[in-house]
Amino acid sequence: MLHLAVGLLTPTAGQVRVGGRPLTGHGHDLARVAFVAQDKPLFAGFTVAEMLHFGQATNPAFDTGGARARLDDYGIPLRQRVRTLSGGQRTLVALALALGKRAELLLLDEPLADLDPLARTEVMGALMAAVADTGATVVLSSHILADLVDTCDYLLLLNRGRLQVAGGFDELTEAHRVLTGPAELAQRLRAADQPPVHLSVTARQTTALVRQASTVVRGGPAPVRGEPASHDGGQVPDLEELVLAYLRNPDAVCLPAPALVAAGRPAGKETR
Amino acid sequence: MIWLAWRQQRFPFIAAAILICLYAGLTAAAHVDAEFVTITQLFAGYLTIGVCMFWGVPLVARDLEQGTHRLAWTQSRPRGHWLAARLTVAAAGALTAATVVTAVVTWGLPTTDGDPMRWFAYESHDLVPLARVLFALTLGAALGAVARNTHVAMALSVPVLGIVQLGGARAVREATSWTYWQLQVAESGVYLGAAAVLTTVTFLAVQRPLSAAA
Repeated sequence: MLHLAVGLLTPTAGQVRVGGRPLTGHGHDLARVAFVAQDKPLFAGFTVAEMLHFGQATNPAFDTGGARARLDDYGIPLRQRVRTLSGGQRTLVALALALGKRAELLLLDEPLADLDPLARTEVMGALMAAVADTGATVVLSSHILADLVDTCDYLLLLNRGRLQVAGGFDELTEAHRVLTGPAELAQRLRAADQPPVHLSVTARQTTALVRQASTVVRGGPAPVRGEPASHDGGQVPDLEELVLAYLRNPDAVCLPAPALVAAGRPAGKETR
Repeated sequence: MIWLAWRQQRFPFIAAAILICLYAGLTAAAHVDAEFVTITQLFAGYLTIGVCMFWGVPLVARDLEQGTHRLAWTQSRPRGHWLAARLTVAAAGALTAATVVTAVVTWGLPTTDGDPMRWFAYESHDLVPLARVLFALTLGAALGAVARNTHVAMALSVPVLGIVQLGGARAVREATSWTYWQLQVAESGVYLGAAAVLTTVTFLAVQRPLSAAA
């Protein structure tokens, strides 16, 4: 999906728009989007300084001073060869290059994959600082939810090639409840107007993730419509529970009204 | 873009320079032992094969193989510019190398009274070696861009080049009663035409959508 947005793949149908304008293969469109592929491709024989020169030579708006300052912050010497960089350093160099492009949209494909926990924190920190600096929109894909909860604020869940869930982190968690109860709860939930997103039943206990009915006021621990008031109204799920429930039930979909998508362009994340 | 193309092609430039020194050495030896005249002319043809395999093939295929096309093609310049720059730099380099080798063979070797139509003399003089090196370069680039794999493209490039030279060019030469210059001009024209077609193929292959990955 990210490859479509940077023109590395051509959509079989439809169109990619950034900031409302369609993207083409022309230079001025390529300049609007910066991309870091999953394997963080860099020219192995180049020095870090030569990578900056490459950025400068191929991007008219390249911010060489800014990129150099960032690399200095990250503690990466300009004279070092790319092939001698660690995984975390490679990611930081790729990030500095992408940021140097001064694009309105930054696409990062699994930027944290293959990084040790320390490097992950470092890269996320660098990314957050850069976003605060430039105000660019960042879309990043990840399989690791825990790393993203504190930094991202919009979720797009792709499952089997389809958009399954979209929404702000808080909106999404607030709109769902985890219900626990006796085994009979399962039957009642199945019979409810809106079936649960996911239901796990053992001999003694039922755990379900349900979507709040639209009439329920958001935020309050209100009972689910069609549910007897006997249970406690449920717990607000954490993001991990929510995503797992949807992944286990590919037929359940939670998408905002189209207007909401058009209005908001927040920093987001995507997971598959 | 030219800077990038040059920076990534330093090795073929160095290799070509070393090869030229080798030819200069052979030419010097020819002044001592006349047998080296034929040997130098024979060896001049290896430049073509070398350019095809080690300069043309990696031109596009190496970036595709190493994934760096995802870096190079997502900057602010269309990938057509990227390809044009590297083809220009490579063509300039290969043509310069072929010109120097041809000059060395033409003016450096002691004159002999052999038939200029013998294949190793004919192929190492005048226009043919220059047009042929451009053909070889674009053949390698096109094979690499289509196969997207340097090893496959290198393996294919040798038999393809062999068929073109032995089965094609030499067979046609023997079958016609054209003069030396008629043949030189016609053959060079065919090589240059083929080089133009192969360049188009390379551009189309680079524009072709990549198969879905990650």
